[in-house]
Amino acid sequence: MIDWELIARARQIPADEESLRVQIAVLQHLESALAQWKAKLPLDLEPVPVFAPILSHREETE
Amino acid sequence: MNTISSAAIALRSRRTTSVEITRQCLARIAALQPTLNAFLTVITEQALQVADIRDQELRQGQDRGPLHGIPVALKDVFETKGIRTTCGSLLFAQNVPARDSAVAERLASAGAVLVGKTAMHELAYGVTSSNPHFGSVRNPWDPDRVPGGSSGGSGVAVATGMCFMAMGSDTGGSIRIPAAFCGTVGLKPTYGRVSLYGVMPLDFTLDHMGPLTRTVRDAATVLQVLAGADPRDHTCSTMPVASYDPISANLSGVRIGVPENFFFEGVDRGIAESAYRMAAHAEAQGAHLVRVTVPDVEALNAVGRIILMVEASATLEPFLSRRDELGADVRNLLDQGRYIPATEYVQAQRVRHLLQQEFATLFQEVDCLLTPTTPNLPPKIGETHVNVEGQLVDARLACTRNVRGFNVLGLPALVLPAGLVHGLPASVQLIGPAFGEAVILKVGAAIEGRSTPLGNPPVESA
Repeated sequence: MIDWELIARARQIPADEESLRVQIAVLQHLESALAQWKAKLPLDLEPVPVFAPILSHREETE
Repeated sequence: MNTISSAAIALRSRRTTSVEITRQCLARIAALQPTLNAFLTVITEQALQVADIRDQELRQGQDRGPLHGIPVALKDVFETKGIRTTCGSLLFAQNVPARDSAVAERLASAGAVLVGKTAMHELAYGVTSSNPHFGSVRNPWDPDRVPGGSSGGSGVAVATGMCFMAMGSDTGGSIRIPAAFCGTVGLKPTYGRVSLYGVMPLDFTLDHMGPLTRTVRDAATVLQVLAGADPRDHTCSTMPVASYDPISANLSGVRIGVPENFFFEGVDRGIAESAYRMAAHAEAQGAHLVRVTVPDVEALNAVGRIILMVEASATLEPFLSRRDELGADVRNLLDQGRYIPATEYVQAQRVRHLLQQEFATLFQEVDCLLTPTTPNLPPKIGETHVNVEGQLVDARLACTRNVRGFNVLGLPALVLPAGLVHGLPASVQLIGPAFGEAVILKVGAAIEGRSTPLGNPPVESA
């Protein structure tokens, strides 16, 4: 589990208590939604151009 | 005569002129701007001058194609040489670019007449177009409601006849949501199909540019002009451009996937019924409906939100110190993006790749998918939550629920009106495989108009 409050303090992200609570709830939800899929990522995954994923698909299509 | 195709015929048969239809659009803008706030900048004199030149060209036999002499608008993220381009933000309130975006260039070369720059959600980072600096854009079907966003002004402008086509940008639904809420067609092409050169970015790997129009055929016409390689944008595809003209309404042999999971869950009953009716219309035209189970769209949406928050915060990092010039909602999102560790971002990109492979497998079974565009009708201005079938849902998450994932996947998506529900537009979404714009345009053209006609928004007769 990521300590979102620690990150908020370390990065000096300005937010009032209410905003901070809402933001952290969102981030916890996203972390949880991603967790199951992260577990599926193979250790030996071929390098992929993750920053332009459609480009790789396009080359395969061409 | 409110479509590009009908105006093009009228121009060539000398039943009207570009100057005349441009004047009509400008008059419509002047009449409705106080109520709807669809434009940030209107270039009356310049538009009429260009229209006059286009008329002269036609008289001399110089025909630039189907957009020749057609009044259009650009969302205020597209750079326009010598014309203010604000991105709906105080940060760029005085920004007058020295160059045109690729989209502006292509439209001008094709003979289109720019009438102005449309209003939008601040920095294209939101779905309401309630802009704290330039005022709220209002829905022509009910001015107390949002028009959707972030390309809200473009949706309003097209729906009310202020122009024949308006360009939008779409990072998590920003073309499709306003098209749905305003009752227009909206097309988000495949990532890389339309150049991003000269567009003020929100997110490096999720931004897409596309048109809002009154018919599917008009959207096809515009895409034909915009699609193609651009060496100035390294993400722009070199794939050959297909013919997008949906010549035949016969859908024989076309397999349309109708999801059994996710997309019809938690959807307003009237909207879901409208979408199913559109599927039945397609079946009546010869399409084969296939019930499909789609991959994990909850995870896909989470991936999209992580990538968007990180990349948007990175894109706009130079301006984060000017906090007082940002609206509260955008400032909060930019703050949230700074929390996310690099490891989470990279893993989100890797999961994106896995989900992309799963959807590619799905598209071996079907030619396109059909879903409701949004699960909800347009929220009232200021509403943070919407009631969908008895459930109170965050308005931003509801609006983006069915559309965001296709930015993550980079797949083309077309939305079109599917009738009225409680007097407000319902909308259906067609999604194709990568570079499969032709098939979704063909299906869309075959089923548009099969639903109860929307008519004109009531604000027009006010």
